[in-house]
Amino acid sequence: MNESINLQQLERKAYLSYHQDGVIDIFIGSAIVTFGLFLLPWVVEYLWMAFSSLSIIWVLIYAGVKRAFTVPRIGYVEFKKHRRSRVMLIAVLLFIINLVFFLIQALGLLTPELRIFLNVYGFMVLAFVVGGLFFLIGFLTELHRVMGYGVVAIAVFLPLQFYPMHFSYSIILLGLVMTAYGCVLLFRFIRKYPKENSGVEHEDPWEEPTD
Amino acid sequence: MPDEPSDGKFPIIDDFDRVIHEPARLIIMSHLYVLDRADFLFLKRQTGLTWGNLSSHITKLETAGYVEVIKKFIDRKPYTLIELTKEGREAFRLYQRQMKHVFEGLDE
Repeated sequence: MNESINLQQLERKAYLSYHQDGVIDIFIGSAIVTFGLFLLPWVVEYLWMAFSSLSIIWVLIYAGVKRAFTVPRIGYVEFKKHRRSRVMLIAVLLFIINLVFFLIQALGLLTPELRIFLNVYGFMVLAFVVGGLFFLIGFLTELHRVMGYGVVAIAVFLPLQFYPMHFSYSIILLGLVMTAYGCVLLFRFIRKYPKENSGVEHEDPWEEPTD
Repeated sequence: MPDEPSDGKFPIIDDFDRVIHEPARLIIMSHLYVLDRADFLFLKRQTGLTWGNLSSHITKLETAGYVEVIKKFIDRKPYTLIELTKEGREAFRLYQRQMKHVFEGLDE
């Protein structure tokens, strides 16, 4: 093992410690639950609108929660560019996937054969596409639990292929698993990193005493 | 003593930067080398040092010109951030090379 590997491990440890609070799991899990709820067959239109706006609000307050909750416990850090560029890569990737699906639907690019295939094996395809996406995101972010969510996604979507059930229940289940695991992580995080006593000395050790 | 080099010194080891060589400062420098910048609390959590220790070691590193202490407002909240200076980064690289050189060819 050489020094460069140790430094990489040091950086990785710092990065992982910043994301072990479970906040991202709770936020994404809740958003998935919300998405599943508005897809329920009996949900009326105004609830759909309420849930949609709620998910937008969640995305907006995520960074604020991280700053208000995580930073006082573990501190503030800015990682090197390669970490930030990976997040950007994931965002671009998700945008491209959305765009491809939108174009296929909007331009009617599905061939009759493909349409028949999707009618028969649609849920199997969905299970592996969603599972694969989680694996990819887990790989790019180095958060291995996201790969675990990929396994959960396959486990909740695959049975739809064989048992008739509305797929919104599977989406809700996936979101609930993520939210629940996020809560477990959050609980552990709070126990491991209690909020630091915010004495002036701790916040700014260089500041001269005023008296 | 007959086993010592003629001038009584070990040239490579004598060249070591004593500011970086101290274990606590080395771990602080290593963290700052792989991160862009971090505040006191983050460094305290990662290094396991006490507030007092961390503060005094960072003061020494700042005096040596290896780290810069930046006071910055992020979302209207004041933060005291620490980052390696260009000199600090170069000194750390040199220290790394020297360490590798010392143990080169040594059997495990």
